[in-house]
Amino acid sequence: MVTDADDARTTWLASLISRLSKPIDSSSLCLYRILFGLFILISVLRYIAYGWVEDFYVVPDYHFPYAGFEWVTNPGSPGIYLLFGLVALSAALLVVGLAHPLVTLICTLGFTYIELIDKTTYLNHYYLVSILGLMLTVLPLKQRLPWHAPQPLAAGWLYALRLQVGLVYFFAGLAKLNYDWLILAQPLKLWLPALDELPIIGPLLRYEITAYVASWMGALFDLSIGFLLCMKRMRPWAFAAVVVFHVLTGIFFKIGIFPWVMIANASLFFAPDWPRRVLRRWLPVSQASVSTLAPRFPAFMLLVFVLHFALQIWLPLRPWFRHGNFLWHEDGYRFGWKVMLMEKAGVARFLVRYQSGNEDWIYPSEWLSPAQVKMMSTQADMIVSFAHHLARELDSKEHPIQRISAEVFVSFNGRRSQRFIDPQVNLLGLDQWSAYQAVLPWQESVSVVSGRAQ
Amino acid sequence: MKVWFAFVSVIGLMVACRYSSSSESSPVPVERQQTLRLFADQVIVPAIDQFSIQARQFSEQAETFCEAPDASQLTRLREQWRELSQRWATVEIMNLGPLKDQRFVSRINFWPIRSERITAFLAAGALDPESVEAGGALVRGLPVLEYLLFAPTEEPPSPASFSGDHADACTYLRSVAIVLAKDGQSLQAAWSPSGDNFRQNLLDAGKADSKYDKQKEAFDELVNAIYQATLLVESAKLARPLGKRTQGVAKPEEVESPFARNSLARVKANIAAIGFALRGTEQEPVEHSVAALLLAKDATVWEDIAQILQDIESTIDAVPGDLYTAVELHPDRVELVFDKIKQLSYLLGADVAGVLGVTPTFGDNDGD
Repeated sequence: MVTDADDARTTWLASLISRLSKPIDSSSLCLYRILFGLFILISVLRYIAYGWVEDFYVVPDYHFPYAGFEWVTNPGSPGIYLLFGLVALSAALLVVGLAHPLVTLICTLGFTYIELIDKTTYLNHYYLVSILGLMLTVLPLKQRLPWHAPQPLAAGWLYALRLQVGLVYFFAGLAKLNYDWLILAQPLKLWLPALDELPIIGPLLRYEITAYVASWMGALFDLSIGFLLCMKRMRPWAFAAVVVFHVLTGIFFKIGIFPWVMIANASLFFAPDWPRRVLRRWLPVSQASVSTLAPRFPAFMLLVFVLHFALQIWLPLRPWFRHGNFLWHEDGYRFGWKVMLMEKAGVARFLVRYQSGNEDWIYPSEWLSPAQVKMMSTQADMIVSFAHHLARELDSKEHPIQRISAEVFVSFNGRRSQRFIDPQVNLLGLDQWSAYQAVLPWQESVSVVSGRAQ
Repeated sequence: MKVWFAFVSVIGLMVACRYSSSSESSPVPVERQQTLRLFADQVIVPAIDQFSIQARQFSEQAETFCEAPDASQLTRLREQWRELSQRWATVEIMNLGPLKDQRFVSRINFWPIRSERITAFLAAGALDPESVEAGGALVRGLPVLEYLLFAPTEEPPSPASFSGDHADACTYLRSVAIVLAKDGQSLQAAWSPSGDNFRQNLLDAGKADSKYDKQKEAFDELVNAIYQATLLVESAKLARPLGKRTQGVAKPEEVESPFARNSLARVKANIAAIGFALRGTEQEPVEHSVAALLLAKDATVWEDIAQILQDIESTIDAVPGDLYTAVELHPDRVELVFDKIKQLSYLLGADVAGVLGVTPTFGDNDGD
């Protein structure tokens, strides 16, 4: 029996689908896909040109797997170069407009596979690229180049991309609402004075007040920019702010293509036909108008996106449901748009105890690359992964291993260091998920020397 | 909207400044360029110059000795070797620039000593400087000189070991000394204005013609080099012979200087050089030194480092004999030295890096 409530639900859903199915010009998404391919292409070529493929994927004997993705293995050389080549080729095809969904899928999966090989290279914007790549893969976009005749496209696809970008900004801003960022102006108080040699603005960066201004403005920018970009009147100003903000961060910090990716993302908020209107001045742009008939936005994709965005909201929020200061323990730090929130330094040693009672000290720098040592020394799940790796390498019938513990000291945001991992904990009894149990609580007033003496 | 934005910002800033732990409103002291200049001119260039001079003097002494080997010349040569190896201990802690890029560390001091390779090279007979240079790290440098001058420790070579039927030993000694002096000169030239002038890279860090795009990169490399030196002393010079890498079994043969029994003195020289590099002087920190920067940012960090440096010196002094014998006879004393050096490496790797915002640079893959 159909009730009034069922009717209302059906009507509401139909109305939503109808709104999401509103036909739009596909030009801006077409341009966005080209820019997406271009950024991946540049990123991959930079990796090869700077020797990072060698440094990060060929030289290290061990790679830190993501929990649940232990099956992702490094193909080694020359396989890894072939993989980079495949991603570069598919990205180039996207750039020239040969964007079959299969090409987009290969590009995205290849890029994501590379990122999944080693946690050391985790970057928020690489994760964002993977998400956007998957969204572009399912996007039924037929227009090859922005000046070609536009194809009608359901507006829901564009809204989904905008929402994704908006969430990145919003949660990046939310993460900045913490004591260190707002009250101590850390880590900018450490980072900005180090940039005082920059021309013109350099001398300003020496002042503490500059770090405070930058911290507060940065937080406000992140929290509000998504909303401002949605407001038609504010959009040009908001976009200008996006450009200024990201160009400045690009000048200040070594963050690769991230600023340019985010500027391209912000362009999604303009009217969908903006590339054609701009290009009309220089190119013979198709004058055809968009058909009023677009393929309906698929109901099952609505379900997929609801689930996706529920996850996208949960992942950034999850550290707040866990104990302690997430800047210290980093439980739930990745995949949550915690962008440039801290400066951390750590030193780690591992103590292998054999069943014979004998012990060996292990120095990570003799086993890992400098980048791996740096990242591992402050992240509990990587510390546990490395302990398991050591056990696999050192355990033998003659010398069976009883336990592996770690002596790790970490400092963050300019504070004195403290012991990070409980040295009594056998790391072999933990896995990546439970690794954070070994993290000692941060104590604001502990004396380092006395802490170390214990 | 703009008014709201400005209002919130101003209120926020006022609150933040009110609760900020520091009340400074003056510029944060940024003295990297002066620090780099101090480091180049007061620390590394004088140490390298001195090493080069001593290596040349050693080579000249070896030449004199080999013309007519006698006991007093041999004693003098041994003494010069000790001084030279002590000087090297002050150079090797600065493993950056040409020292690192051109692998001077392995050319000058590749250890543990591989006695069998040295004897095999000696027996092969091609002992001219060119052959030594082409022979690789195992048959040149300070360890080979140590072997020739001091091995075996119980019955060290006499002048007769270098003449008559054993004249080859002197030929080899002379060639190794010549190659070492040449290495010293090359290293000196690499830093000198008349050579590759690496010093200028530090002074001009941040300028277009410098190796370093930013002063911070040069500064980070400097601090990291000092930290890596501590790590080397801890993991290779102490942990290994102490048996901390071999399931508790002491390995005296793994010490840096097994025949001259000079290992602990060199550890002490390394630590003194680390202190000197941080302070820019023997005594109190000079202006613009790393220590002075630490004092300005968080004095407790430098106080802890200064204390640990003193502790290391006194624990080394409390070890009877050299490391070679002490790791078996007095492991508890050596253990104390090891623990103190470990503390120093924690302070340098975590606290100093944290307080000064020093990070190893890997390019922009190290970011958000």
